[in-house]
Amino acid sequence: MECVNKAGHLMSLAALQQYDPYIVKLLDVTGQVALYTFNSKANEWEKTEIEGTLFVYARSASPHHGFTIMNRLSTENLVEPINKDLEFQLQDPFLLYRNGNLGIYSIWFYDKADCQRIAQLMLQIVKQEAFR
Amino acid sequence: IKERWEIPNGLLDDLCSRFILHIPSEERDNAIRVCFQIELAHWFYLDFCMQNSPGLPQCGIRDFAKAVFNHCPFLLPHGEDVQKVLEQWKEYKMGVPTFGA
Repeated sequence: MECVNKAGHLMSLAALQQYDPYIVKLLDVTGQVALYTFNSKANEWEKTEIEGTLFVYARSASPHHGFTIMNRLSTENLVEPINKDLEFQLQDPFLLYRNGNLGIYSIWFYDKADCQRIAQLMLQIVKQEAFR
Repeated sequence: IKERWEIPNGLLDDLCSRFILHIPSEERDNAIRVCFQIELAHWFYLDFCMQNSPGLPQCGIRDFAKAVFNHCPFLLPHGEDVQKVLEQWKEYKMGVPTFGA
């Protein structure tokens, strides 16, 4: 089914470029994730209205990497640049992260193997960005 | 000749990426499972896409599924007949109890 993957990747690259023409390459994808956010006042995790397909990609302009969750619950997608300020913590099937705005989020993965693979990729990109 | 209910290719790229192309391969290789994902994409199309772009054609699940399979012929690698796949899916749905819907 490699051909399906290739055709699907090309189609999704085109879909993402409609939102962000600087996206040049898909680095990874997984079909089923859900986003949670940490409410520090209530000290608990809350499910957001975002769940769908997660894409990690490279851009031809700064920021040079990012990820997007194409939302199935509404047209509001999550878009997050990956830079050196992004901190990740793997607790599979969850990938926790904190961004430069001090937002704390957790991405739940349907597929544990995808969670681990994408966590590694994100860490590798953050390392790269720190040396840029 | 453009059909009355034709959906723009860019929008099909979007909907297929959101709902269909990246589901686990054991599901994606099963045309019946793919139909369930197409149904979710169809609801999204009716609820959001048509609301945001009033010029889009109104279409039922059959025409929508045909458009998706037409756009992604690799979803039916054995050249299955779309009409037949949809009928099988309908039969399957009737046989599976759904709760609360």
